[in-house]
Amino acid sequence: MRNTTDRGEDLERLSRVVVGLLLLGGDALAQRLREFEEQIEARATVVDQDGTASDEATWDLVRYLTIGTLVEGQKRIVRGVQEGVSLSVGTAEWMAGKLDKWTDNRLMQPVRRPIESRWRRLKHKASQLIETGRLEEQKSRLLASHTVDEIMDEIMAYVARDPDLALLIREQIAAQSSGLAEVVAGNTRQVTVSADDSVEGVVRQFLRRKPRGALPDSPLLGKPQTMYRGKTRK
Amino acid sequence: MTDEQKPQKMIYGQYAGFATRLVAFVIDLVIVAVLVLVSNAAVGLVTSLLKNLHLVRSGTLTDTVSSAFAIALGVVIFVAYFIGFWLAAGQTPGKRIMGVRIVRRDGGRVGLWNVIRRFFGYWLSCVFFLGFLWILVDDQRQAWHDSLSGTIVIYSRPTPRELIIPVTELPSQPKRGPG
Repeated sequence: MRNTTDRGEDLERLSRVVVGLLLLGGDALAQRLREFEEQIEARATVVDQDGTASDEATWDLVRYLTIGTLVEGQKRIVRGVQEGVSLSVGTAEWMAGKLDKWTDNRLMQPVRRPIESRWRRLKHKASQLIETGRLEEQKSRLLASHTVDEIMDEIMAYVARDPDLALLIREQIAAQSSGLAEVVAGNTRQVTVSADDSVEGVVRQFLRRKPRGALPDSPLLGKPQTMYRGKTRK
Repeated sequence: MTDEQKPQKMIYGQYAGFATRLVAFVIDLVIVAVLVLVSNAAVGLVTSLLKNLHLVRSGTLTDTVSSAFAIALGVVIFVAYFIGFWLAAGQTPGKRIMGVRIVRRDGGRVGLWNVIRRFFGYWLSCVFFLGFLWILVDDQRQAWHDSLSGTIVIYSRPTPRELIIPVTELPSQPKRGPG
């Protein structure tokens, strides 16, 4: 029987592969987008030189105007987000500076000291995590690349042998892609509902309180929750 | 006895526990953080436009006013998000995802006064997080802000097993929460 350590290591490997796949996928998508954009720009230049603009109808011009506005708007939003981030950082630094000034006295020392000590530890931990992340990214990329090559060959060969399976897979992908988020949320809910009881058990044990046993029934246990439908209040 | 044969306790409408509520709260914090970041970006964008058009002077005063406005907007978003969603639907998006809902202790929908007391109770609960941890030991899984506002938090989604309970055993078929 596999022990907990094995399962933990498997999970770690699986996480690495997932991270690697996301990185590789992101890189590939960005590369494709760059290529498409270059092709489109090259084609647009050729059109300009041919002088076809004079044949364009008003509707075409309105369409170009809309697209141009969208693209320009997007650029402005990106600039805005950058400004916003910079503003947030600036605001945070300003507040930190003020807090530092206000609390830099003997009265606040007992409060400051533990916070500063935790902050130092946090920074140290963060730099360790960054280093781990740097190493893990390289490992993840290699592992994902290798895994994809191996598995894809096997899957393609298997699916190619069975046309019915290929059809089924296509149908399943079409039907389930929209429900994926709901499935993830549902699974998370199930896990946390179980965790609700177990966390309470552990904490009660730690506090040397008697185990809860059964919860008292809530007034709405098993009843329909219609109180938020319509305007009437109960 | 197999898993299928074991009696399953019903959780639909039962008091929601600490872990579920914590995850819901974290989801809400992430959503609010994104909203605040977007609002700050909008303030930054407007400020930079005004500066570029020379409608305001570039300088410390403009930056200070802009920062103050961004902070105020952030606070308004934070308050409006929680109070608005609690009042309108009894659940924030985070609570909806995690399938929990706030109701009055008697089972009715929460009113403005409940919501205001609950919001200020949040800050009380933040003192060493004792108010939140109270859920773990309270008989009705109430945090301090719940007790203060006369509310309880209940599970609003049936588990998959509860969905297959015959309709006759429930007063009426439970449906998913409101929009």
